Amino acid sequence: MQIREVPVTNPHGLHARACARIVALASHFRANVCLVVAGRRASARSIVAVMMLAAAVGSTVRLEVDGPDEQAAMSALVQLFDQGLEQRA
Amino acid sequence: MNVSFALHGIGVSGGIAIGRAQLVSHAMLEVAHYNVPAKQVPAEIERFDAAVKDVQLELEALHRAMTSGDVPGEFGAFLDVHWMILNDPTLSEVPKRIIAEQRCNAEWALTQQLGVLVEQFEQIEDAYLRERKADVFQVGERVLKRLMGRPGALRAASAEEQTIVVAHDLSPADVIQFKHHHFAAFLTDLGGVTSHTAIVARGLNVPAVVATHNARALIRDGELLIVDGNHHVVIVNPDRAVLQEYRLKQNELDLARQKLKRLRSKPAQTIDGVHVELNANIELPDDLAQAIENGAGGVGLFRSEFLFLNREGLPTEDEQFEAYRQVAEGMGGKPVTIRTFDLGADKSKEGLDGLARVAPNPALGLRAVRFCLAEPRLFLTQLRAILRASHYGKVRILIPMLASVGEVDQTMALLEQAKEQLREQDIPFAPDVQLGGMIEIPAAVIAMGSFLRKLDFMSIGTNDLIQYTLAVDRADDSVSHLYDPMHPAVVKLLAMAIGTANKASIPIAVCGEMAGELPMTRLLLGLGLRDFSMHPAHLLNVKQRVLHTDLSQIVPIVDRLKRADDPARIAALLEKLNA
Repeated sequence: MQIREVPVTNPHGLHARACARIVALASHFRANVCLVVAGRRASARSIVAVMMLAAAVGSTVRLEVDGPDEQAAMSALVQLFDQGLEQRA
Repeated sequence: MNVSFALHGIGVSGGIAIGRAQLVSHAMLEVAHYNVPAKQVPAEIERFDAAVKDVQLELEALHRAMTSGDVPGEFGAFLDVHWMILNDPTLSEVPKRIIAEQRCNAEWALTQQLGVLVEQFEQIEDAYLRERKADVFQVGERVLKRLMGRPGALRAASAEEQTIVVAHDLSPADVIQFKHHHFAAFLTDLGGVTSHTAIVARGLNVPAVVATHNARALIRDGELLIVDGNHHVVIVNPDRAVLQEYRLKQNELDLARQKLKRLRSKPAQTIDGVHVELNANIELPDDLAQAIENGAGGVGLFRSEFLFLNREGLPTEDEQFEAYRQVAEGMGGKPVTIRTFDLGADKSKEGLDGLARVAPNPALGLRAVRFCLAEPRLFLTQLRAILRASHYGKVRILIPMLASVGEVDQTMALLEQAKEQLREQDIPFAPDVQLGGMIEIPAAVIAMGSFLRKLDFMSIGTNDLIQYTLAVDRADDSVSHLYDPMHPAVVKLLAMAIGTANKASIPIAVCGEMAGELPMTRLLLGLGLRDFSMHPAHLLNVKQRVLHTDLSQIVPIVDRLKRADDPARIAALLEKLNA
């Protein structure tokens, strides 16, 4: 399992479209992706759960990726966060 | 046979429509709860699955329609979000468990789950993220409507069967969607003469009756309606004789409309040879076709804030540039006046979540140019986009809602900064782009001299000028009858603004609703106005009025009207003017 912590930098935090990009990206991989914010976890399979994490700008998201292609999945996710979640997945 | 009855309201857009009622509602309010026998639970779950599947196909079809048309990609992204929410187990799986556990109907199971989700969203601290519950809610509502046997997308009306929208109230975001459907008329419980429903209905040239108070509750889906916008009346389930009579009236109106079309390319000139500019107000690049079709001399007001509605987040510089360039090019060298974002107040209620701020008195709060100056980055982006478009046509910039000259100075400084940036990047723009200001606050009329020294042109927004002069909220049903364009103070302010600008040889236009209202045409001409900007639907009517006006005859009447203080005398003079 890979674990990384990434900051949320875009002004509206994990808004609906940002969540959609995370969920869409995660669906390309076989690995299970979990997001943890302030102790609350959400599976990247559920956009509603990710939205409800309510990660505002300045918060930190812990990415937990577990599965055969976890390395590729993690680097793709980290890149998405680095781009301020604006890049289309 | 259904009982025939009549409803009265305010006819805010003229004409007659005959068609079937289509109720627009929030489905959640009407959900029934009943128990399902154990044997039927699998069938109920199947019914739920089918509804989800239907909505899924519906969203996919919408998405395809979007990507094939010239709709901004952002709208597609917004649909993607809805598609994902629909397929989220919290929405597509949990309700099935509830059906099985509680042996209840699918609608009830979904409503309960939506309630749980919305409650969880309510606990989010961040206001912007909390509001995203709206997306979950909208998706849930689509499924509910399917389950309740009515499709979520409004079925487009066919030529044979006209459809009339019946709603409690319509938001700007709702009505913008209606532009693409061919509805025959609009009916709402709430609203006034200047409500968004009214403005859009007039623009689409379809009748509308608002403030009916309980049309939504009394009319049933599919009932036959006659909407008479001229006489403020709605007839529900008319009998054959009444129907016959209205069909005749409808034909007469159609004939008159055909006649008007011949005026399209005729120059707008009074009998005594004074030329008058007749320009179009538009909201989106799509409106351009209607403007050209009705012979507009240019775009007098491009309400750029409509680029914000029905989307999430801000339009980027490139998206804005594309929209402005399209209009500038489309008008082929004729002037295009782009008003910078007039956000805040009534337009921020929906669709602008990122920007909406709750203020105790939004009309007097952070809106229009105040808002833009408080968000200089957003403003600079827009100014850059407009400047870039100026390379492709004759573009002018209009600042909304000026109150003091400092706002002009700050805007000019930002405009200079935008030009500087573009020069550095070698991006072409017209260096002599004209800058104008909107007169909407009485203070701006009284202190107009200071603006005239700095600006290239002025434009009067009559709706807000009346609202601020009379302290009447035009959207408030309880005081909307006090909203009076013919109040002596309003007439005097208009006379003062037009007179002052004319004396200084600075062009001045009226771009509010008043510019498109026929009874006002001669009054404004008599006050010295030579530049009108209005919804394209009114252009030919107003042109016809200009063609039949002799200034030498009306100016003496308007001079008397200007000095009058008694409402009855003003009304009498206005009638004389239009005789």
